[in-house]
Amino acid sequence: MAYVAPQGLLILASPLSEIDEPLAYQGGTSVLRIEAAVDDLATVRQFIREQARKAGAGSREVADIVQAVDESVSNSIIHGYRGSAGTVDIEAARDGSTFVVRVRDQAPPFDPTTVPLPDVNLPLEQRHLGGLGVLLTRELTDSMTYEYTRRGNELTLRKKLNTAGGGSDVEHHSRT
Amino acid sequence: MNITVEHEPAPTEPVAVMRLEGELDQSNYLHVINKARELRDAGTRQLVLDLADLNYMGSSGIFALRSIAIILGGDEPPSPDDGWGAIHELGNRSADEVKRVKLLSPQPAVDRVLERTGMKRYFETFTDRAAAIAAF
Repeated sequence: MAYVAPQGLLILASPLSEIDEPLAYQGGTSVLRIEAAVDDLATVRQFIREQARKAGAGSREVADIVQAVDESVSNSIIHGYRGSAGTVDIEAARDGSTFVVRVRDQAPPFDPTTVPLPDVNLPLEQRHLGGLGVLLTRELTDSMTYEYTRRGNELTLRKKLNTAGGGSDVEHHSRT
Repeated sequence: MNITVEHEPAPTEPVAVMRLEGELDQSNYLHVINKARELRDAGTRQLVLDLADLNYMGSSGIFALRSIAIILGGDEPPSPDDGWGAIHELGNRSADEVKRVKLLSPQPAVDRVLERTGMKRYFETFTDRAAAIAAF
């Protein structure tokens, strides 16, 4: 089951819980909480699509952000929770000319920014197919940062809006 | 996501055209692979994937593409349940079987995924259905 909060409001999920310390950017933050189930991925994409459009993202920017978030949430569900019950929180906000999404889960610590990326230029029979989700996330966003805190894994993606190009800037923080 | 299949005559042997409508992600990519397996079991060896109405494809779709090509070649791809080792092993298979699959009219976002993952070099892409079928 998924819950969407109007901008600036915390949401309560069942069993009772709070999303503490959501992104706090101008214009407020919208939050979606899903169960760690791949059947909810379509809901995630639609949520991000709506939030990105509201933030003024163009169609290509929307598509890029949706892809990156879908890949990140998929990894939380498949490789993080690995079939165990849990939730994934997706927070979205605009910060100036940047659209910011944070994906948070309580799966075992895992830093996707350290995943070795496949070499897509190798011949097919020499290539590993793992890591494509992280590859796409890095290439389609301007920044991908990770933290492990008392709240769990937190992956923050940033996409500059209405700009061309954009490299990938990866940082890694880990604290408990 | 909806999957529909049509069968077309072709110069060499019959071609199946599998049309995917909607979004392809971790929740349904196995359905696509299983559909290809059904077609293979019924005799199909060549497939056009009509992507004109596929609005989204996650990286699981890339795994599906490679798996479909292997299946049509008469082999079985590794199961995703086998974990990362299986995913990595998939890349070690021969690239020849990818010629059994042609792609038709991917939307821009799907096309970018194919491009960024290096798959466009291997899977021929067409914008005309007849041309895709005739290309086998």
